Amino acid sequence: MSTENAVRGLDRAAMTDATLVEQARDGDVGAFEALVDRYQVPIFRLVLRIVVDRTEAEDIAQDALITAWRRLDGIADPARFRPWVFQIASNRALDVIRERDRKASDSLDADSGLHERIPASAEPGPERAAITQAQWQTLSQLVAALPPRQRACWVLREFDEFSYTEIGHILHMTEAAVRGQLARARMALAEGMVAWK
Amino acid sequence: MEVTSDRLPCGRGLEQVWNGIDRGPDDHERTCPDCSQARLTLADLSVLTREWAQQETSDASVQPGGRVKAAIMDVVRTEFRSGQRVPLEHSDWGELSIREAALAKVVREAAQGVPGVHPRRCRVAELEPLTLEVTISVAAPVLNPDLLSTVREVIDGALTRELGQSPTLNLVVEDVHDDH
Repeated sequence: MSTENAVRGLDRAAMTDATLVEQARDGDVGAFEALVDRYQVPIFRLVLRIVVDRTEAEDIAQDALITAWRRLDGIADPARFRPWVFQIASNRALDVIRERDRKASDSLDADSGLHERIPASAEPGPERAAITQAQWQTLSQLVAALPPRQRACWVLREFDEFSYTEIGHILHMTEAAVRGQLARARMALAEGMVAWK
Repeated sequence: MEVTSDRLPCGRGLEQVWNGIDRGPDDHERTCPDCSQARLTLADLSVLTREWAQQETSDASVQPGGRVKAAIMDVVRTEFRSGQRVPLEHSDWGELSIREAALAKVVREAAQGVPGVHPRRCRVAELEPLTLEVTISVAAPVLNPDLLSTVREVIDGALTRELGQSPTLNLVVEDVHDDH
């Protein structure tokens, strides 16, 4: 960013979500583009964790941000853009899984694809020698095997660091239900890792 | 250990055990076999999860292809709502007008010329006489009584230059942001 831009206030990266949302509502396409730049990667990663399929995750992230654009006037509090757009994306991801499961149970080919879809996780770098490739793969397979809603809770908490209250809001669950799902997810993952050892 | 609820057989909640992973075991956890075992398994998971999340944050390869943003912005540009037309003046050639969005753009570009000011919305509140409602967010360090008149002058100057008229301006500081 040039100094001139900073002085002229064009540094979109420095603007709050609320400011960008208001500008975008005002018809400023560049402001919405800045929101896309800010959120497309975190949304894609969230959705990838939930649906465990790269192409599907790209489609869902794309749809979620287009929906966000179309409903921009509907956000009561523009400062809450992040949880709002995460809500759109995670619920769409859960819908896609529900539809996929329905199709899978309709056909006899219910087992197809899961094993191919799993390596969605980040590859460990060489500096992460303490944690082996096999451990990463095991954990990502265990996560993929969690019930979808539990998986969504876990990802929103551990990767995106939402509070229990916010996760409840995003997934339309009570805070107590979120606590329960998270505890069960963690225990299932922990026990899976123990069994793997 | 079979866990079907979020409670261990000893009655303690798993969440409580998880929250205590980063400290030493408390009195109950030291003597309770259920809790000791749960702490061990959860501690491993805690480390692994944190490493995974950190690794992913720094891993540029886990991101959507360029087609995603391109498709989003195509739709946004196509659907861009230009808003109502605002009549500017009557002349022998008929009525000149400007779209509300274009008017807002003039206002925004002027306001963001003032350091620390992030313009937000510009709405036509009244057509006769033309009255604009403009909201801004201001960086905390530059917030002072003179700022509003500076912003007002800058916007008024731009509108006079671009449109040849000087609408009534309702300027509202809607938010204060940190200075970056």
